Amino acid sequence: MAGRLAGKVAVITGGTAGIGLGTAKAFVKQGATVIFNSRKPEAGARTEGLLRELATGGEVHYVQADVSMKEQVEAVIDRAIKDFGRLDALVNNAQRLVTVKPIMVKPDEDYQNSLNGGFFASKWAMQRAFPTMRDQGGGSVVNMTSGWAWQAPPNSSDYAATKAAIEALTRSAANEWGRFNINVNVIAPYSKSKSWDKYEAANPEAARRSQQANPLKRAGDPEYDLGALALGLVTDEARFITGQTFDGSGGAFYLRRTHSATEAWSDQF
Amino acid sequence: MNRLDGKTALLIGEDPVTLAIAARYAAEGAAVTLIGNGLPAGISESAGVNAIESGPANTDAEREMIGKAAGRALDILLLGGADIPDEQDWIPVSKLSIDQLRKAEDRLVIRALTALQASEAALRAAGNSSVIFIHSPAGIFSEGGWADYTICYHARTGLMRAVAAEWGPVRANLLVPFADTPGFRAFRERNPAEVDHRTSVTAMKRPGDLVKDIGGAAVFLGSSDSQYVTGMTVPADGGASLTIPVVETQMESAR
Repeated sequence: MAGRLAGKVAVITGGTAGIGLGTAKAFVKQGATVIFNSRKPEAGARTEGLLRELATGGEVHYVQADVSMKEQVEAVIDRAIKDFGRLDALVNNAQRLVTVKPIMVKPDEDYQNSLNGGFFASKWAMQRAFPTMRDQGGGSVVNMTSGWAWQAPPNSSDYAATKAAIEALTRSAANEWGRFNINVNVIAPYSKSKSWDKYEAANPEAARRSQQANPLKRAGDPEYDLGALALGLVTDEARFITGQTFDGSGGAFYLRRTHSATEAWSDQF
Repeated sequence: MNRLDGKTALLIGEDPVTLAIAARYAAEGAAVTLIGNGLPAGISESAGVNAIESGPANTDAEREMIGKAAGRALDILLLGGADIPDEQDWIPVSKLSIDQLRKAEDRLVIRALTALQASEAALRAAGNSSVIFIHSPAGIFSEGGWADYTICYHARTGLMRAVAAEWGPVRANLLVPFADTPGFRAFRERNPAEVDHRTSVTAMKRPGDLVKDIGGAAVFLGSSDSQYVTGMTVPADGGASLTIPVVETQMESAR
């Protein structure tokens, strides 16, 4: 049976770990050709090999690129378009790491770095991808935001502002590109990752309580929860869903003010 | 067309969106039971579903019927809504009678609660099952003139969120269609300029196809693609919920 993305070409930024890797796995298992990038070529080559083993008909190609550099993120998009002649799905997953400082001492440079490595990275990739998606009759873009864009915890104003900007970019693109059958959505994930594993190892009880307080009772899986959500959003089934911010947190963000607000009572349900 | 192979789906309703989703679910391989009032003749055969006429809503008999139809384990419960009412049936707050409000509440809130309670055990037995409420822009915006729907659809939002918060890993979401229903077509025939303008300012510039667009979104919400999504309002509306028609109109007149 042909995969759900058989014959489709996808670009996933930041594909060597976490949700980017989970999404790449979900896509190649459904037959997609996947172009992905990271900054470190060793991890890229390793991941390329892993994804090729999982691939079911599509090709897998790694491009070394730092998405905070315009010409580099454009080169990732160009690889898909020049080698395969189309681009059906763009997942702007990569986000440059940010500093932890209060507003009064956080320099402008930190905001610029965060915006370049998140907001501008997404914008540059979308701008490069758009003409091809339009001319081929449609496509899908999935961006990444964060519950922190809404909760805006202290010391992370650059990150929160960047993610909020990505959400607004998503809605603007949805309104501008809907007429070309391009849908654009954004996911706020709550997912397991290397940093989650470290946190869980150091704070097992807190990690257990955090998951128990989640409406779906678990932290998300990068492939089967978040990768699947991105997959669904780039298939034909979601073609009429656009401009939406998806709570990919098991309900933790939309239903509760914090991950743990009602955890003391959640057993009674 | 096998996205829901092996899944069981129970749909409660008789509105055009629910009927179309029933047919799409069956085409995707789900075992579909449809319970409704005044279902179209021959729908079992035409849609490939097990259609059951429910009789009076919100009775013990209906609750028993839903519980039986839910079976031991239920993967998808879909709670239908209502098509666009004729203008003569629109009610402003100042003219809304208690009886009219109760009628809308019975159809949109109590009926959903009854179905949820009757199928709770089956939904929980299936684990990461999906509850989908068919919703309306009346439950998101408040344009005035639809007091009964505005009140009751907002109440459905509260019911959805309570279920999502309490019944995990069962998940619950709202599906808000902008669709080419008979009610939409009739409304457009009576108000072509207004409806066409509103459609033209949406991102995708068309109402959704009942089976392909709205049915597709219902498959997405019923399938494992969205297994980590709960408590959400999901418009399948080609971007209609993002537009502000009043402002667009003002912008046009300002040119």
